[in-house]
Amino acid sequence: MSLLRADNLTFGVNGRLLCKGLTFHVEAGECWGVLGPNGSGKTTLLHTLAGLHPEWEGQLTLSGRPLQQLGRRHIARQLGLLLQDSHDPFPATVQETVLSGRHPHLSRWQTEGEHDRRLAHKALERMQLCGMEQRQVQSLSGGERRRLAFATLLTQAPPLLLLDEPLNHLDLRHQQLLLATVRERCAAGDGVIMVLHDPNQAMRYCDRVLLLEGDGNWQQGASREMLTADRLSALYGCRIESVELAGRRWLHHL
Amino acid sequence: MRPLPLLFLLALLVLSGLAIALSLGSLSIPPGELWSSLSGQHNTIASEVLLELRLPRALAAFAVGGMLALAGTQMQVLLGNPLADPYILGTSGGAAVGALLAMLLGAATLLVNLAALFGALGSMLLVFGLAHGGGVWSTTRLLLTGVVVAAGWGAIISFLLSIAPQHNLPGMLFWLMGDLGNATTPSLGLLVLLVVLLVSLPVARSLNLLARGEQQAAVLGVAVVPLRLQLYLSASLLTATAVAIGGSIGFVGLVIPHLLRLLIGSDHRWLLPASVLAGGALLLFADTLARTLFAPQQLPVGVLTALMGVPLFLFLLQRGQRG
Repeated sequence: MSLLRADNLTFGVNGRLLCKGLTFHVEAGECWGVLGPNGSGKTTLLHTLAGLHPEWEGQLTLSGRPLQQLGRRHIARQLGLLLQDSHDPFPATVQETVLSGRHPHLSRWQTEGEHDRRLAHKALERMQLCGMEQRQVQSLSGGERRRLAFATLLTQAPPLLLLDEPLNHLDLRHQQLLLATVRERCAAGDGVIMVLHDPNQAMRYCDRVLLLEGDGNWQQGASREMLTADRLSALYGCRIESVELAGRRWLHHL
Repeated sequence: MRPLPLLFLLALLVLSGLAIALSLGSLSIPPGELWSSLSGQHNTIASEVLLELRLPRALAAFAVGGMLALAGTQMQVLLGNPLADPYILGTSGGAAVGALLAMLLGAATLLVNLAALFGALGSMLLVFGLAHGGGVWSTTRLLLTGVVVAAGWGAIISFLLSIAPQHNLPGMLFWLMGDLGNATTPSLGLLVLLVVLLVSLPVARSLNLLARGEQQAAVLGVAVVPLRLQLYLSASLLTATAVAIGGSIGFVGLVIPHLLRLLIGSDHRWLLPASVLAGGALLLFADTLARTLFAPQQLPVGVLTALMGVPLFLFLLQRGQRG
């Protein structure tokens, strides 16, 4: 059974059509990249899949059940979404924040237990945030906050991860760390859909990609076939060329 | 600071505040004799003063303080803004217009309180209806609607004050500054406080998530729309009841939640009960001072809450920055 099935999905924002008749299925262990120019509906797609965006038609099923029939709590155990931005108007510690990922797994009166704390610790360790547990979130740098948000998602531990520009604010080392973690999740059987801007990263880390053109049109397929210089030049409206280097195809703009 | 010791400390503070409130006044009763007078074994003047005057007023002060602080905590989460207070959406303005109108018409205390309650609830429905109008119920829209409606009430209050006859003015001003002089029936306040607290505690963990934004909360499994509705209704009900009993007492609802966030962080499972105790304690002490400081002259308690709260808050803010 697919983790997620979108069939004939059409969505838009404020009456403006972004994507028409989109059909794609995410299987366990698959990593999908979503690429497209600014404003082409990448974030809206993720929000629609997460049940946060009401303006859509078609069929969406999450592990075999229609999305509309699922409550927020149930959805939160099936999929997690790394939002493009996080904001924390109220003071909170790193530890409190990362533990909030356990919310959908705890019953009403339950408090976070040993198991939850162990998961939280593992996630912080993975994102190299150990030792910062008692720091205030507001005192973290942009990249540290981004890693904390991803660690919270790891603590939530849903089988399907939606990542909206996960590499924002991250330095090269931590970009690599995050992408390697994403591949680990896939190897463990999770599905991933992530919005990326760098076709080289999509080529290297994604099995399949979805290209959104923003006018309703879309294309999908295996990364290697989709991420060609011609297709990307047309998608972004600028000259993109490819070179072969170290046995891999690299895409760059002129 | 660990939350549990703080909760105990606050409970102790409330109890000692109660004892002080009961023993101080024109007839001072030593704390040692409080219990025997309260239990009513002998029908002395002391027990009459306690049971008829001081106990109801002290309990009302606790209830009003607790309600305002709890409402403030909830309103801050609802609006995602640590600067929000219970009055920001116009609830107290509506109450004030109701109360002042009743005073102008020469109504008795009970009717003034009722008019305040209806004014507050009316304002709450008005803001909710207007903010909800388009179907979308965004934080910004709610905040803007509430602030504009509150400004409207402010204009009506100024109008009423400017046409009011001389002899009505002191009473009206006292009401606006917040005054527990007429608070003789604490049971309604205590009941509302208890019910709202009991209804809020089960969603306290969800509030932690809502404080990180609606989308983040929804993604982590919170049904945001019903939760926000519950927050709006309970914060408004608390504010309406508090204002109907004690007028628009300022400061408690803004500063207590803040102060507690500085002390124990933002886990609402602790914050909600702690704000009830801390708000109640602050108002208990403030009201005792208000009626004893310049006795027999009584001060409006709103003056005292600010006078006590401002230095305390600034001190904690300074300390927090250093730490």
